[in-house]
Amino acid sequence: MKLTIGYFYPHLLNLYGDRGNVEILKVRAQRRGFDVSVIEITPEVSMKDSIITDLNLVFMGGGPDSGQKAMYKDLIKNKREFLYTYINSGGVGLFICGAYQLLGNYYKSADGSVLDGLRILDFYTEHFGLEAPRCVGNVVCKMDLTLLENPLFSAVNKLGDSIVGFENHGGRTFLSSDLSPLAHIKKGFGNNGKDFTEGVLYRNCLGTYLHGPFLSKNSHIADFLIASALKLPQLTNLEDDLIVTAHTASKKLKQ
Amino acid sequence: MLYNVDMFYMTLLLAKLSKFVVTFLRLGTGATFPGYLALKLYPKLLYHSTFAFKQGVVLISGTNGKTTTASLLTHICLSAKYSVVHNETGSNLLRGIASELIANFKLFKGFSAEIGVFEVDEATLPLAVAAFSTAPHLTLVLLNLSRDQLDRYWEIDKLISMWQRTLQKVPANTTHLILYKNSDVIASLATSFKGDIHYFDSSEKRFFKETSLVGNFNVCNVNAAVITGKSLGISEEVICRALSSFKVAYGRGESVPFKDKTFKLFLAKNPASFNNNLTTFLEESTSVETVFFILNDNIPDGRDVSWIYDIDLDKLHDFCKDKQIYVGGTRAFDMAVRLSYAGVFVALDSVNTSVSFLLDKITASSSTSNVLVLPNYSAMLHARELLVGRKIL
Repeated sequence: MKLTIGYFYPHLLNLYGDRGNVEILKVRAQRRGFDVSVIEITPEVSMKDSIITDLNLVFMGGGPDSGQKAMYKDLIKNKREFLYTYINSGGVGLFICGAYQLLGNYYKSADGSVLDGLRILDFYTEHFGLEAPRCVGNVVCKMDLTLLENPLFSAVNKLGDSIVGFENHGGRTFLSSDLSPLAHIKKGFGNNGKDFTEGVLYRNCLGTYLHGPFLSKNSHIADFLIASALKLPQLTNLEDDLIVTAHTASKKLKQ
Repeated sequence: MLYNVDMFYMTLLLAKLSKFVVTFLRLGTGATFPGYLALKLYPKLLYHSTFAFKQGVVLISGTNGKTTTASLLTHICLSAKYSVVHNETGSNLLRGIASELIANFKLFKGFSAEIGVFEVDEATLPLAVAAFSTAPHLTLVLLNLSRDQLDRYWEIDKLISMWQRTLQKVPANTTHLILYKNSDVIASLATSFKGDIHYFDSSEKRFFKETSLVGNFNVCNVNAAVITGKSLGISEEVICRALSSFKVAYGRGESVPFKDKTFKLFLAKNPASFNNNLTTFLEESTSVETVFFILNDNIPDGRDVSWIYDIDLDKLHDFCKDKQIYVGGTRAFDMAVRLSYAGVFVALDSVNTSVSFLLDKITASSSTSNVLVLPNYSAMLHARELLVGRKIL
């Protein structure tokens, strides 16, 4: 049983420790005795390569403007078809910050210019320039019932209903009414600072603005991703005292 | 005009008074507040002709190495018998530079210094350059740029654009640029500047060997200080003498005896400095039994600690093997989780947000005599205060 992680643009999109998410998934899977392989998906990799069929978990992190510019054409032209089919057929994926934004319909900059997204999920992102403050700070949110009541998530959840992390984004995301957010904000801006939603959850695809890295203190989500990817009904427990303490401590951090 | 002169001197007086109050009431060391107050009252304080440096000003910036390079250069200039003003506290925003200038302004003698050597925070560099651009000679030393405190700067790209614009505007005939050759990012800044440029890199090792500094990353810091000293007209002979008598800047490889143990402090505030330190320890097989990580998320540290996952995983694991590990600071548990994902065993009772609690534990342990402390910025200041018994900043 092997966890094969497709890590998109690892060198271009690793703004701030997001690669830690891949490390965490790898370690948590290995500690349960599973083999793990990480395939770097770069502009040079064709999604028609045979190795791509082995992927059971996809990860893409956030990046600086220069990184996003460098991969954008390749993503839209050569990777979209794969991602569209993968996500719509229940493929397991985690998309952080800029990568999350790109799953949507478009990104509108402060100067009015519009960048097409992958148009896989029905939402858009807008940057309001100097009219709105940047969304930065510690975040505490409560996961949406869609995830909390998911039977597989319940089976691996040892942490409860909270999600913690750190956000740092200028763009504000607005989900269409039929899309479920990942969580509901208790502290922080979340998607747009207005509707108290954070991230998106669509089938087994998670999008979020949270760094930390995201999975560092949200081990319940890490385990959900692993169990879903390997199609397992449950996972053996790991020694997670430090993580539980860290998660709890994070809930008390000032925004 | 008379009003303006009065306002300036009133500001200096009030600022000096505030420093006295701050230090008397033990609220701080006056390395930041007096300057903060003064700039609020008189925003163009640094531009004032009173703060004239006869031989010019040197501004040193970059993600890592500012304090060490500035300390080295100051020591070199002092050895060459120049009078120097230097923000040795490491307070490197405008308020820190202003505080240093105010401290060196004597009530009846005024201000007199030949060279100003200032380490400057990366985002503050444009403001500092603007303030000192009328100096008879301005030297800019740009060391490196990597991700640091991303919640403040959020991208290096933006810092680079700021620096490019600054270099385009600075007077080329009185400004001298000193750049690190081996960084594409730093070397690319040359295209924005029309004046004299000198480069340094890590190929020359002989100057580094004159010092008692450890770590390959310090080769660049030494070479930057040497080339700047030479550009100020200081002879190689004087420079070498200065290098051999140089004592490390606080918190950068500093050894502090405490109770019956020796604590070595190595500032590790971002992935680059962390990895550099780990490489040094692994190469030089430093003999320590205990490692004390301290991670804070106060404003000067950057509030997002995600960067700890950009520390080299294997180096962290190899270095921590067979050592007693303690983890402190406001984000102690984040660091402990990171270490455990790197395969480092961390006992839950060795993790605590209270540094003094952990220091008590460490000093009570008989199985250790050498402790390596790897703190980030405010953590280093706090740990140092506990170990040395007094504040720096």
